[in-house]
Amino acid sequence: MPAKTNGNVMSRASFAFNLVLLCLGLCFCTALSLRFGAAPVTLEALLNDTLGLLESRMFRTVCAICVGAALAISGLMLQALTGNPLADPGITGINAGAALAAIVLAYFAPFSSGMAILLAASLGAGFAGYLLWHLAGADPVSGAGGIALRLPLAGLAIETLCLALATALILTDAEMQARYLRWISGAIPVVARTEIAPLAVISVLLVAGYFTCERLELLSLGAEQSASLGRNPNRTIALVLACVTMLSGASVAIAGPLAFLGLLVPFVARGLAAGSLRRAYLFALPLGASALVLADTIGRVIARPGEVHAGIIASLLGGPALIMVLRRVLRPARWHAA
Amino acid sequence: MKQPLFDIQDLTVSLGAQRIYSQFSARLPDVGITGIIGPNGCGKSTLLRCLGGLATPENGSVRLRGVNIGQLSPIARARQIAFLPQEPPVLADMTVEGVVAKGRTPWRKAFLPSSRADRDAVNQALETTQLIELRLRRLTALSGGQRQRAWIAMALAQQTEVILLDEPTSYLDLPHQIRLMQLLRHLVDQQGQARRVVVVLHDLTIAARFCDTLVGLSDGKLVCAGPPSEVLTPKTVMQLYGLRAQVHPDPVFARPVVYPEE
Repeated sequence: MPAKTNGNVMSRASFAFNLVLLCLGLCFCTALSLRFGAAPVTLEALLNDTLGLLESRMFRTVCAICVGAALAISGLMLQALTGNPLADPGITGINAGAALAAIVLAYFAPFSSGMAILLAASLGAGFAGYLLWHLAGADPVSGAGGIALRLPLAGLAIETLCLALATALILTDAEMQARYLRWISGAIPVVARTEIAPLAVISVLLVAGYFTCERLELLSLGAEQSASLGRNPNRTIALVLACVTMLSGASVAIAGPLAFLGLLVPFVARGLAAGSLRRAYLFALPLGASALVLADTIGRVIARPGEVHAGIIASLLGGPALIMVLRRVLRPARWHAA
Repeated sequence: MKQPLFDIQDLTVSLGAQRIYSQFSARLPDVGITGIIGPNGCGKSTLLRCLGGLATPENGSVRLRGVNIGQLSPIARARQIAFLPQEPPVLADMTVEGVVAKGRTPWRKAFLPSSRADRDAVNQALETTQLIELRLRRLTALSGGQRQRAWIAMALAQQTEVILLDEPTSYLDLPHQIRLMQLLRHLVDQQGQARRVVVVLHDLTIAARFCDTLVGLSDGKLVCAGPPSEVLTPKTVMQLYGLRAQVHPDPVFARPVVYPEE
């Protein structure tokens, strides 16, 4: 018997090892983010915190952790749902839809609460998702092969349209420019705000999402297979989409529409997880958080005393990484043709 | 007559606008392996879905050993009937063990880790299908034959009386087809009354060799049902496929083989 379970024990040990490693990585990134910022200060001054710098950096880091994890998870869930490794809230236009809705709200009701912005953004995300489903002709899972290319193409159209509209709305008004131009390029908020609703929503959803993994995995075996094992596939799709759109809405409400993270982090997490969605989920949390915290920290340090927004850093690093992913994704097809 | 395994009464089913069955009645006898044969588009898969309780009929009922499966809850149904559809076009990113463990879904309590019974069932299913060595492999890294075995292992882990399979042998080469059918035969013979297999098959030679009963469908109508030697005749082949053919027993197993004359 021990010989049979040996492989399992090994795989469990390496899972725990990887997870601990990733969490340590996140701790390290968090420390960096707290220590280094646009203003160079000594460690002593920072710890005494006469300027309130540490507090503002803490809030900013917590935001980056939540948003990074939220983007990674919504990407992971979308990829498992569509069976398409290119699906993520950025490329599918879901984040852009959320951003447009948030801007429209801000335009007509300038002093909306964080919760109102979150709800508007989630609605926008949901609407973009709905549009995508129809444009891409997505028949979940069973027709996934056919939508391999249509999904990102339709998403790109939605993303471009929504972001163009949102930017246009921002540029019409000096007040709007002052408040949202940073946000639309993916800046993590600098000043601590009392509105912590989006952060709370993300935390709750990240826990709830973990419990949909079983169902989602079952659905990825096919809608009929899921039904025959007693789990209604439509309910799974609804649960996952609700989770994804609200995660996207909340993360956009905090930090604007960020690209690439939701694509790349799940890719790495799935590679590490060796075929278990729940493990990939647990890997994606610290990975996504670390990636955004790191991007934000780099952005604060490289252009002192100015700042490069995390969204721009993420795109800078994400572009080349995306090319790597594409090569990996396209390889089997090429091999097949040869 | 003995109680049938499946008793189908006045079944009316449509797929979209197309009516597949209208007032269809049939009894599938309670034998080890029942093969469903017939030309493309005759409603084989739809019938299998009805037996699995996955298609919602407009009218009529399907009874499994007297129990109307339309009235069972999805979980109760999943504890009695395992259903393996044709392979999906996109393979899930899962390990063999992960897939087989999914067969435990109807037996597991929500939010709780798998129990001893779950793990035992999974291990036994992996052992029966000789997949122990491959348990941590990903689906995408398996051959077609190994993948079919993984699906069957999932159905075994489900521990149901009935397993329904939709064309499990398509895309497999001849030796793998034979291995797969031998595996099904072994499952049934080993468990006696406790396990029944209903399988949609295209290959008549394979069907005649391994099935106890054949059910022939054409255009939503029952054409024939019975042991292969009675069912496979020139007349039924003509009725089923519109094909002129001779039928002779093969020299090795004396099972009927269809030789088309066209």
